[in-house]
Amino acid sequence: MIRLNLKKTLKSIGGEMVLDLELNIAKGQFVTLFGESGAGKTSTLRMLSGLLKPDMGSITVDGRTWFDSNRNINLIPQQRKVGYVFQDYALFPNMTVRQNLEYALQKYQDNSIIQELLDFAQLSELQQRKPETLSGGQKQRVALARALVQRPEILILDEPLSALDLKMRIKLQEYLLQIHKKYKLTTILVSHDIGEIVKLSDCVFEIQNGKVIKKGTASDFFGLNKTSAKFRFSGEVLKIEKEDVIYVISVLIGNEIIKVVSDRTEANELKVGDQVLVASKAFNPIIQKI
Amino acid sequence: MSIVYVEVENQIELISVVIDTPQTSPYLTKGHKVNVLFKEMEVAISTQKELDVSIENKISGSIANIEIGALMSRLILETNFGEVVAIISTMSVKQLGLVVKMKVKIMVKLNEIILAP
Repeated sequence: MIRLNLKKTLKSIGGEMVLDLELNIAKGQFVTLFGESGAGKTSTLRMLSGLLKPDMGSITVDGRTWFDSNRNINLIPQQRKVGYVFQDYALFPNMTVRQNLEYALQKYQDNSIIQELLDFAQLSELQQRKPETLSGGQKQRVALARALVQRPEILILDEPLSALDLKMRIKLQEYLLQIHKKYKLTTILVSHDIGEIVKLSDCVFEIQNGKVIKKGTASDFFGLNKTSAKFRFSGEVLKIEKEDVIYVISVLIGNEIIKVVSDRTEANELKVGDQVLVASKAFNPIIQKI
Repeated sequence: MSIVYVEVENQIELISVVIDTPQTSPYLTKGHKVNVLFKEMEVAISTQKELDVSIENKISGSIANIEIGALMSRLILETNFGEVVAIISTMSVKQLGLVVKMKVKIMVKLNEIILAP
């Protein structure tokens, strides 16, 4: 269990904001922090990982105190078992893939983890390459592997996939779930992509102006459980085509593209890239063995 | 499974079948407000007043607008509880001789009605 109870006055371009929040995250959960830019999500994660010092409060992880302003405890980042992945990869450009991973090794740490991670991330063949020769998806796999070198218990993913194209994003979402399960991590994601959040997370916290304003399971949170329709998915609008008096809307759900016929009242409110809920009654679909 | 009767605007009753029961879904209680959704393509139109047909929801209305397409047509229907859009084939529009201001029955099967609490 991660227990965060933090107060911090943050200065930004718009003035001051007081971050004041309490978060409890069960071990092994995949949670998402959701909210507008500047709401305090990244600052919260920086305080958890020890990169930013809270003004007041405490952080305990599995009963161990990482930070306590009253008792003057503040573990340095290296003592906290946290892996951190950023949107911009933050790889060392002058090092090869393998060297980027090796750089993260702690003193006296057994280096067999490097090969294990290279294999798991399917990076073995690329291990002598420099980051600049890799695609965005490959770079992010290197960054993820590097975050796991020190065998963290908590993995922080700060908009890790938002710079990638849709196809690569879907692929890496699967990969994030695999990592989460294989390494028994507690994972904290920052994302704005509702399809991604619903797919990956057990629980969502919405943060606004430095405070938690709402929490719930991903499908409750985004209202996906609010109709009696049982045949329902969330996805992303890929294409809207007018045909005759109707509209055909292509929606990416997981890695399948489905089509929904729609009247113009709904079609006019949609644009490519929108996150949508697709629902029908359980009575309608046909099911067949393949 | 439950069959749910929904009163709309104190006037008509719409019938829906859902997999939920009052035990699984607490909103299924008498007096609880719900929104009723159905797809424009699932609406059938009849010009006959009384029709022996296994379509449970029959609402009276009149045609406010018809937009004729090559294959499909879009009808806006005025009812006691507001506008309903129906999308039916242009073939049927012609066969039934549907024109603006005509009084019609608007029909939706009960398994097409989604309830949103």
